[in-house]
Amino acid sequence: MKIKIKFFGSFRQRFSREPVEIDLPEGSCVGDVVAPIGERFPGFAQLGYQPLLAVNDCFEKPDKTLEDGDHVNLFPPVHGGATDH
Amino acid sequence: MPNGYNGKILIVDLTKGKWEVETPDEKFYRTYMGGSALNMYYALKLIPKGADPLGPDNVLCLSTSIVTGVPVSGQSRMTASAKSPMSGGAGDSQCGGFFPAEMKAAGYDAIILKGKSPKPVYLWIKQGEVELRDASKLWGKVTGDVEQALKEELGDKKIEIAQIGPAGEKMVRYAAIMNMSNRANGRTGMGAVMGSKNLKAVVVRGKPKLKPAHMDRIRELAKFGATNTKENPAVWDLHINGTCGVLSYQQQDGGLPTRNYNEGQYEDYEKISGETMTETILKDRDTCYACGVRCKRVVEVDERGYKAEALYGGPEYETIATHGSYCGIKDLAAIAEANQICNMYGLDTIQTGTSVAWAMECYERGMLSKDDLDGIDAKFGNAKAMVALVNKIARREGIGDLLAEGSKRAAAKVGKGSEDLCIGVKGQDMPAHMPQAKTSLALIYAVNAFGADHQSSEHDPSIDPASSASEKQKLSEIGLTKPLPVKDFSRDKVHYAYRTQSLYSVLDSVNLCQFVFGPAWQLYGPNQIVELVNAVTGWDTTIDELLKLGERRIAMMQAFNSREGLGHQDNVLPKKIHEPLKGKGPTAGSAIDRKVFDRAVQDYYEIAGWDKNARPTHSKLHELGVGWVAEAIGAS
Repeated sequence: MKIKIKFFGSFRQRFSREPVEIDLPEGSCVGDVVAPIGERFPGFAQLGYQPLLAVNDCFEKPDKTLEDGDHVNLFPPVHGGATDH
Repeated sequence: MPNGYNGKILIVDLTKGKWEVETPDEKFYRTYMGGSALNMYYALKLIPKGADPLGPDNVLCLSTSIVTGVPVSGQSRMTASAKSPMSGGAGDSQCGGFFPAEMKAAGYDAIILKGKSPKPVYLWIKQGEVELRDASKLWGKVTGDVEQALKEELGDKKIEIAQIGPAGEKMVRYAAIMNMSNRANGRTGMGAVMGSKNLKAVVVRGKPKLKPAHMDRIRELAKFGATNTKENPAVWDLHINGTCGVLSYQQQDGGLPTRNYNEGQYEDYEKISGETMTETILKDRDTCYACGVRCKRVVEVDERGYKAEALYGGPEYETIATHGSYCGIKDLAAIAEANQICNMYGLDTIQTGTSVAWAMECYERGMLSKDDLDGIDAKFGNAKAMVALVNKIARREGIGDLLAEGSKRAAAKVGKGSEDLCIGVKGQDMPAHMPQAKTSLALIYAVNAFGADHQSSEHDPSIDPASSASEKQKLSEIGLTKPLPVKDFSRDKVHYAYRTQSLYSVLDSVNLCQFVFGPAWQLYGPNQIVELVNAVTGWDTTIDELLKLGERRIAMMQAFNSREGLGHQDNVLPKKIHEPLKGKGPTAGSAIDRKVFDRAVQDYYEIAGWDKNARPTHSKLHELGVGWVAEAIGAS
């Protein structure tokens, strides 16, 4: 399924100003976007913390199941609530 | 000479045009340290009970602190306090910039302003020498013009100026004190108090002469800051996108106040986000004295009739939200111009935007007509109407004269149920962090002495089980080790709120920036605040001693409120917060349960040492070393 990824906060300058699209298998969770994004943007894989994940403009835990066409927004922890690796 | 402070406090009687210098001892400085706590000492001693906030009996206190001016990020802060014309209780507001460090270098730790000058004046302090000078020619001028005129008049481009604009002269109740034409002591109407005294500006010029006790340890702290600014994602984001970087986050959290706090998500948020500002109208990043974070924005706009020039800086998150999503406005250029008007005329951007948003909802619901609004079609989303209303408030012109009183007082005149559209606590409207998304803010907004404030405690995400190891480590330094979900509102969460409020209260007394120092995500944690204070002063303070300072300041402010008749009945939330939130997103349909909230307030009183009417108890005030306050207010 096609998932549209958008970067927010300092991620936008560091990785991509434009949204990117990735393919994920059916049944994938939002946490599954981290690995393919890390492959495309190596710096993303080397973050010292977990990014915040939002699906269709709502923060979600990594185990939230995605559906085809979902929009995933990626944030650095801009105001608390970060999770370390 | 002591380390860290001048040992001099300037007391100016504006009525008589005379001044004197007090020289408190070390015990005084160790008890109050500066900023808000020091100001409250003078407010409680000098402001008579029942004083008119806009009358000559009010006293305006401007304080630096024991650490102001040392070469470490986040220390150039000045606190302004007085009886607030918004609440009738304690007024309190902090600014950054270069004024605070220059004021300390000019020779005084605090400036206490009493009485009322018979004519417009400004206070000129140059290396300890004091002069009151005629400001008749400056009266009526906007901040940028006054900056230029004073630099020419005094023949010195390096002076720093804290001034009121025309809004302060006209005593718009939420007028700000401005420095650099773009930094503000914004909240609680301290600019209106300054205007009521016919004091146009305080101008300072000095030569730093204070030596920290341990400069090597100061250098270590500075080195840590320089190394870790980029490594701390929250702080680095403040550098990249400024405070407005948090706007997109708030949207995903359902905590972006929209259309006068009726919804928690704004459909056009990306048009007004920090990321968009960075990519479009941002021209530069500015900073405060010796700060490496550089979170201040400088924007330029000249499009579609909207203008904003670099001199007036750029909008903060709160400014964008209150003039943007609160009003349903997606036009960043219009918001930038509104920000400029606020900075030119000297207005609290939060209260200005919320007053406009309240008027817009009144208009949509038929409580205010187009005629009432001077012909302005004040629908949500009408950017030109928003800018027009801001202009009218700044000049107290037409409907602006009513809105200049703040939404609570305006609603009392308009009636028709418009009172229920207000979003204030103690007359001060809620900032752009929603209690429906961050539960403990419901409590802190209600009990905070000077009304709803988002910078008086740490927000809920930092204590959530999912928070980072570094946040957990910093919170553990103030004894907070039990993770609590964001929506938890147990007694444990109340304890978290009060404990972090006490730490934030330290920050407002030691006068440290809350984006640089703090209990969780900030660049420096609690133990480093202790290290900074000790490195500067040579003292042997501890985090427990500092937290007592924080509690002392909270208790003194609340004691001031009690003396002025504010009590439990004022520690309530606006009706809207207890009703289901409209719109979309994770907070849609959510509300703060009244029973849970009431229990949390009672828990807070017990933990803080307040009685049932929110009055700090005799024993608590004595425990905090300010028994004299108990005697002054007749505490139980």
